[in-house]
Amino acid sequence: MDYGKLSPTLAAALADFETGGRPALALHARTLGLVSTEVVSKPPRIVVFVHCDEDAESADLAVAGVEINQPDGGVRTGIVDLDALGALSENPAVTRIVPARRLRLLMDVAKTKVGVPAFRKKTKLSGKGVVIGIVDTGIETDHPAFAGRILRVWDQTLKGPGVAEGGYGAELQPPMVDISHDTVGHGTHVAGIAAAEDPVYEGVAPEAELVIVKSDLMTAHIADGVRYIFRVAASLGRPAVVNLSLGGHGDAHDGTDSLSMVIDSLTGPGRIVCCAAGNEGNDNIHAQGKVRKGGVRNFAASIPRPAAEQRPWVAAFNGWYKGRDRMTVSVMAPNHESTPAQAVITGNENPARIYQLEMGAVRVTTPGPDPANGDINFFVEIQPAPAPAAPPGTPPSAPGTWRIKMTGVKVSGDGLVDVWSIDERVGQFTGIAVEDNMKVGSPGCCTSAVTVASFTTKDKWEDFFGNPHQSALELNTISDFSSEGPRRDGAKKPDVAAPGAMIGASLSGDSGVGPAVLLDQLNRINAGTSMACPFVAGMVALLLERDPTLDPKGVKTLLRAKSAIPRRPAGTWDEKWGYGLISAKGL
Amino acid sequence: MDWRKVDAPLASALAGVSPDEPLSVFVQIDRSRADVDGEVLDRLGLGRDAAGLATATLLPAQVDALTDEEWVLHVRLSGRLRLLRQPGELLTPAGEKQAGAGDQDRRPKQEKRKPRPS
Repeated sequence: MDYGKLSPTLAAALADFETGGRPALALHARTLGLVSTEVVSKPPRIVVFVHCDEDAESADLAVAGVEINQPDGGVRTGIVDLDALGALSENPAVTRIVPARRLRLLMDVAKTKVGVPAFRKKTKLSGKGVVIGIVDTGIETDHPAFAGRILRVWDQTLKGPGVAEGGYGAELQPPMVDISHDTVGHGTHVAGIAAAEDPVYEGVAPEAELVIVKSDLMTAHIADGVRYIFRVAASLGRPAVVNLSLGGHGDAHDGTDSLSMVIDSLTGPGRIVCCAAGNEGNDNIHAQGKVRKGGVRNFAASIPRPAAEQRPWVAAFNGWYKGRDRMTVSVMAPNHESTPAQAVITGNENPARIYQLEMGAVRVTTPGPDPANGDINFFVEIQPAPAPAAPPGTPPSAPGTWRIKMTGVKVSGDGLVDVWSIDERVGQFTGIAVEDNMKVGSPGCCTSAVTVASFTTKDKWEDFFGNPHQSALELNTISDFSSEGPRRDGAKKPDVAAPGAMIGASLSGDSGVGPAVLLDQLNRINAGTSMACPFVAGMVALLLERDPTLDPKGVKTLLRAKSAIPRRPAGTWDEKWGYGLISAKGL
Repeated sequence: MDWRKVDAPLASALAGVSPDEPLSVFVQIDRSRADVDGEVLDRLGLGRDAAGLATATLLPAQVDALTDEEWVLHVRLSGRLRLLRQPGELLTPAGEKQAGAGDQDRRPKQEKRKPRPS
């Protein structure tokens, strides 16, 4: 026996069997693919993955007591008598023997939690005849979970003649869709939650068809992608729901940004868009304060300094106040050096000004009122100077506190100012101005979109290798990372919550993935409002199958009516939960 | 350049971008005007969209020229969005390296996709 080739769990099971016989296998049989443990007339056997040379002859592997299912490949499956493990492990072509595991149905936990299986059983709905559009990082086109159901891929990152919606990228139809790859894996996982056909990790609408846009994530190209999906669906005479598990905070947080406006213009009967709420629930990316006429308000932000050898970064802040007011903006560095107060610049000159301070470069942009909402947008970018070189072993320098200073020149109302950090990794607010709300950005703020928060239905799992894992999330409640609403104009976002953690679904074989999140060869686990959003997109596909004329308002009315926040009166809206966890029961 | 038609992020970008660096933008067009220049739209790759919000990738000089057109209402910079999955650090696997987005590929080497093993 070459014990070095056995996985630890298999070695443990074998050791117990050798010392305790069949009864000692009982505990292992709950989790491992053991068979015949109680049938005395047959040897105990175990279903395994056999890692071996790609070209190993099947006949060489299949010695007495060993059955191998595939004739070739680097990882094959089979069933082995425990007594034959020794011979198999000593085969030089074999590198590793891993037991198959009895997996828990993670997607089923999520789906059962909100009544999807019962709903589908009762209604016979499966998403058939409905297009689910995914604008994301692409899809693993040869994943068996999507076999025969990927209608088109517009890979915006490939060189090609483009499509009617944009003269860039390449449109692919089967079998050419295989040219496009999802090397990130996000889009494949999202598509799997919405529409995978899989015995364990089945999607919500497993017979829906898919139109995929692999995007570079630029908002303009995402807008083009949404247009493309609805056009393709219309040409096929099918209703469509588009999933956008993407977000950012460079917008007005009131649904008047360009991407949101495009979505509003495209949606209607049989054309629905679902958006993720965002994952900034634990991040101080929003600050708010009231500025009186002649008064001053500081918005303090902690910004790390790059080390001397690091590439510089820019912390960007996106601020808004009412168009009837006028304020000046200045920026104070941690050493109290400050830029001059900059008023709104409305003449025929660039409203951006660059200032070089000792501790970094600052650009302040103060144009006139935004034509979409009439409000004033100011934009502050801070590029902190690198920290001085320090001897090896010295701790990195502490983040510095920069202050955006707003001064009221003309204030006729409440003088409310909202500022967002564009990227929480390089800038988070500190102090009294921090507000733990309005953290749903674009396109989550889109008026017609169904905006989805995340609910945690699973906090523990076992990976492919049998190692247990646990997330830091609290079970059966709203996920702490899920971004809070409402919009800056007070409109209610998010709309509803859906299972978003921890969700097992399709794995892209072209993406890198750590062992802890690998569930089997075809599926991985992940969390985020990115995962909650396609759950609702799948449910919308079921509803569109039943009624292809449903419009965004109708979909939201249906979903809201069946959503609830635990221990809160029906119809309650909450800035974190929206109208609560969706339920398919009674839809 | 009519700076009144340029949003803050685009104005900021134009202050630091080189003349040959293209920018992805949204262009709000007043489709109701009779003087909308179809030739300019075609040349700049601006689609004909019912809502009047077209997308294009333009050089700074093209943005400059476009803002001078009466039928152009506003030009906005296209931002880059992020994927809304949780970072891997928030997962706390028991007793081994934390993992998640962006991890190195430690997945068992596998053959080309085949149906799930029985």
